[in-house]
Formats: sequence, C-alpha cells, structure tokens
Amino acid sequence: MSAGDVYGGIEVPEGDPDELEAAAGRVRATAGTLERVAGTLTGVLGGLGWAGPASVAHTDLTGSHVSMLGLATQALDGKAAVISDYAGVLRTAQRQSERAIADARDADRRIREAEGEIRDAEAAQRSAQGRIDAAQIAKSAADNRLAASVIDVVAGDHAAAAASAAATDEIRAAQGDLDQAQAKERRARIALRQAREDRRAAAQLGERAADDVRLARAGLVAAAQDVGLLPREPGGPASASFASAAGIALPPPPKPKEKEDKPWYEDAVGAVGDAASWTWDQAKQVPGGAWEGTKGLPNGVVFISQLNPMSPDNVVHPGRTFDRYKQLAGAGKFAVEHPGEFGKQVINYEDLANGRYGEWAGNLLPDAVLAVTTAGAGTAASRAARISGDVADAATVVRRVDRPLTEAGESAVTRGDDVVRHWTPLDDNRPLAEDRGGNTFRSSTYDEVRTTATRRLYRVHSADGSPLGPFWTHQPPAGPTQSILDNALVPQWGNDATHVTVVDVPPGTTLYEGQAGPQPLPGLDPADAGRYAADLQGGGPQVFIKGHIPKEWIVHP
Amino acid sequence: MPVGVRRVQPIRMPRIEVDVQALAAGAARQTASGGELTGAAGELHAAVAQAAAAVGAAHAGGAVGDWGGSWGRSLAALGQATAQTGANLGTAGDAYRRTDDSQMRR
Repeated sequence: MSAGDVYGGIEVPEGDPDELEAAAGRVRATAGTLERVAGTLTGVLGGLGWAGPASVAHTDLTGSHVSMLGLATQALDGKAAVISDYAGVLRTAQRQSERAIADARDADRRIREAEGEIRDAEAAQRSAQGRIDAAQIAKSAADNRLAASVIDVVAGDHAAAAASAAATDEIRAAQGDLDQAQAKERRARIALRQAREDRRAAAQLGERAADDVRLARAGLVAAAQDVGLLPREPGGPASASFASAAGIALPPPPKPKEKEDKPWYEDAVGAVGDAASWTWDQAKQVPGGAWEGTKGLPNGVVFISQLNPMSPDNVVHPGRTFDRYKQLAGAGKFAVEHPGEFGKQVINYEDLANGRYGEWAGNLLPDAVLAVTTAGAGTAASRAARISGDVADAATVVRRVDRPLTEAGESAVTRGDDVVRHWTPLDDNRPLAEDRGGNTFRSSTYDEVRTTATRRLYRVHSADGSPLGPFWTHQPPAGPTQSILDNALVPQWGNDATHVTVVDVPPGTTLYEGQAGPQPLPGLDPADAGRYAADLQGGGPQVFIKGHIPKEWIVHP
Repeated sequence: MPVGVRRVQPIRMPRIEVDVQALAAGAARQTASGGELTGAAGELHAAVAQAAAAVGAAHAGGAVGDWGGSWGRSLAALGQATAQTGANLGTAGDAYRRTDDSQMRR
C-alpha cells in the first residue's frame, strides 16, 4: 500500500515524509552555514585593526548583516522544525490510513460472509419450515386415518400409526434443523453488526487521519505565509491565497449591496463608530509584522511572541512552533469562512451590542489585537472572564482545532451550531452525572452544543413509552431495528422503537451530543446464554436534553 | 563675549589607523562569505523545493515553494551585499596602500 491508495472512501494521504525529513535536514544545514558565516564576519570585524570614519560605516553595515544572519539562522531552524513536524504528522496519518484500509477490507469481507451466512440460514429455515409444514400435513392425514380405522390398530398393518410416528419424527428433526438455522442466523447477524461497526470505525480512523493531515497542511501554509494570511478589514475579503493554499473553500461572494457611505461596522455601533474605526486602524497594523509594536499588551502579545521564531521558547522547543502555526491556521480558516463574525470579534461587537461600553473601551486595543492575531479565539477567551458564561461564538468553533470533538460535535459545527465544550471523563464538574446520562455516551464523552437556529429532533419509543424523554436524534429514524441497533436499546428496556415523537428545539437550547455507547445485552437465546451474549454496540449519534422539555416544542404527533 | 560673535569649534578629524594587509585579508574572507551565502541561498531554495514537492498537496506545496523562493532571493541578496561590502573593504585597503606608497615615494 502506498500514498494515494484509495479504498472505500479512505485514502492514504499523498506526500513523502522521508523526502520532507531530508529537506528539513537541508534547511537545518543551511541554517548552520548562515551561523558559520555570521561567525566569520564577526571574526573579520575583530581582526581588521582599522579605525576611522570608513571603518565605522563598514562595521555598522557588516554588523547589520551579522544580525540578519543570526535572525535568519533561528528562523530557518524554526521552519525546519515545522517541516519535520509536518513529516511526522504525515507519516502517522499514512500509517493510520493504511491500517484503516486494511481494517475496512477485512470488515467488508466479514460483512459479505455474514450476509452470505444469513442468506444460507434463511434458506435453511425456509427449507426446515417447509419440511415441518409437510410433515404436519402428513401427520394430520395419518392421524385422521388412524382415528377412522380401528382395524388398522387391531388387525391391520399399522401403516397409519407408522406414518403418524414417522411424521412426528420428521417434525422433530425439521424443528431441530430450524432451531439450528435460526441460531446460525442470529450468530451471523451479530457478526454482521460487529463487522459493520468495525467498518464504521475504520472509516472514522481514515477520516481522522485525513483531518490531521488537512490541519497540518494548513499549519504548514500558515508557517509559510505567517500572520499575513488574515483579512485586512472587518468583514472584508479573507486571504484568498491562504484559503487556496490551505485547501479551504471560500464562502460564496455576498450579493452586491447599494453603495453606502459608511462601512457596516460603523452602522452597527452608531455613535461610537469612529472609535471602532480607530480600533481597526490600530489592529490592522498588527498582521503587517512588527512584533515589537505589540509590547505591553496582555495576552495577545503572548500568542504573537509565541509565533515569533526568535522567541526563546521556540528556539529551545522548536517543535511547539508547528502547533502554534496550526492554531493560527485554524484562526485563519475561521476568518476565511466567517469574515463577518471575524469583524465583529475585532471591534468587540458583543460588548457594544450589549451596552457594555466600559468594558468595551477598557479592552479596546488588546481585544482588537487579539482578534486579529487569533481571529476571535483570544478575544473570546479574555472576554469570557468578564462576561459570565457568554463565550463568544468564534472561539467555540476555533477550539476544535485544539481539541477533538465527537463525530456528533463535528456535525454540530458543520450544521452551524456552537460547540461550547468537549467533555471527557477526565473533566471536573461535568454537566451530566455518569448515572444520569453521562455513561450512555461512548467512553462517557460528549460535546455541549448550543443551538443557533431551530433544530428538529426525533425520539423513538414504544406505544406505552414516554414520548418526551431525554434521548433524541437529529436524523429521522429509518425503522425500529435500525434505531435499536444505533441507539443500543436493550430489548429488556421495553422500547421497541415503533413510535416517533418529533420536536423543534428553539435556538439557544443546550444539547449534549455524542455517539451512543454500548449496552450489555443478555443472552439472546437460553441455549446460547453466555456464549453469544454480546453488547449492543450503539454508535449512532445521540442527543441528550437535560431537564424539562416543553410540550410546545412537539411537532408530531 | 560680545553680541554677534560666535566661538568656532575647530574641526577635528578622527584618528585613522590602518593595517592594509589585515584589510586585504578581511576583504577576501568577507567576499568569500558573500559567495557562501549565495551558495546557501541556492541550497535553501532547492531544499524547500524538495519539501514543497513532498508535501502531497499542490496548493500547500505551492505556498511552501513560494516561501522558499522569497527566502532564497532574500538570502541571495544578502550574499551579494556581503560580497559587495567585502569588495568595498578591499577597495579601501587598496586606496590606503596606494596612498602610503605615494607618500613613501615622495
């Protein structure tokens, strides 16, 4: 298997980690050359034995060259580390994809085998059932003959009795075959379910590997383009070159508007528009470059200096630079995809819109700098400390760059909802107690989602079940069996998933979303107990609504 | 001091000390360093081109290649500037030497 191989929607990412490592080594060697030349030039200056006006000019010029070489040496070391780190991500992703393809092939083979076994078992059951039916008819006929003819019993050849006994034996034998065929079908269905689950897991592994490479490539592009990748004005065009290089699809261009005298953000803030303009004028200077220009500002400058390859931390730990570029790439991606929201972050629109003028004015420039450099993530983080719980939207989307979400959480982001937080068993103060919903998610891991628009949810239940419980799905149910399998509804719970409740959840509602976790399944057949008992794997996307669900939300029935 | 009279400070030329042989040697090393930088620029350009080709995505590879191109050009320019500075140093050394020679002949 090699880079570029594709199977069942899983692709081994293209690229050559060995070549990248070799190239990184050459860049490092070049940095070494620069360092050595800088030393030579310093030695030249020290050995000239020359004093006078021309000597001063020569020393100044050569000294500036030495300084540039020093900076370039460290910058190249940082870039080499980025290339090397990308090679590492690519190598890991290629291995994961290859494993995913192998797993998928194996799962597909097992699916085909299980489906074949199910077909065989069903045919065997039909055959056995046919034999039972035929034997029952024969037995019925023999019994009738037996009842009608006493002579057969007393003086006859006992043919009717023998026929009846033979029919009984045949019924017993056919019933045995039927039981065996049914057991075989059950085993095959369990194997099929497991194989499908493994196929799904293989696809997820492949998708995760592809995501890792996509993000790493965006980080690589960010490292190549630095912070100049961000838009230069609020709501303005995002950096098309970054979007193109990072493989980010640009949103469709907005419809042309009537000509306005003022930019949109001045309308938004009314009387304070001039100040907003001023803020932007200050902030937009930042991407242009001078690291020194942001000294004295809290928080934002930390991020900026961390990106600076000359930062002592980056010199000591060059590998961290790549992670920061990936973060910047995530910010750039957000700015590309949500230019309007990015602009609002820059002028601290949330504070203005809510009349928090004091906070707005007091944090104006730091917020603007943060917004430009982190495309909203930094502003949201700092603002969250001032505004209780009202974490701004951009940060939640950008956060997924740093922290993985569940598949359901990723879907929420794609849908346009906000992911407020990713919760794992390692977190304190989890909103769902383990015995109150938390452990119904796979690995007790879920995402806290806040809806941004009305969302339609579905809940399956039995005829006498509860139509308004905590468990829901975004997808309409495809049938009881699918619901039972996807949501791991153990039969003993009594939910046969034959009825559906549909609700429309309003914007601003908190949902907890993740994959349904497995549930222990008691033995399917007393004879098979302990042998074929298995877990219902679940794995379908599950939504948990905590607390009361108003009846006004019900759309159906 | 009467009104309208200014004290004129005498113009003092800084002291000049020159070791022309050291200047010539330094010029040679500085010029050679410029050549090394020019070579390093080519090597850097080639190395980044190698990385760009191995990225695995044309668009991202293009961005990396562009970066390598701009750094290569900058480094080449620095190499030229260094070599030129070395040449200037050599010219200065020659000038000092010619001056000394002409004074000695007098």
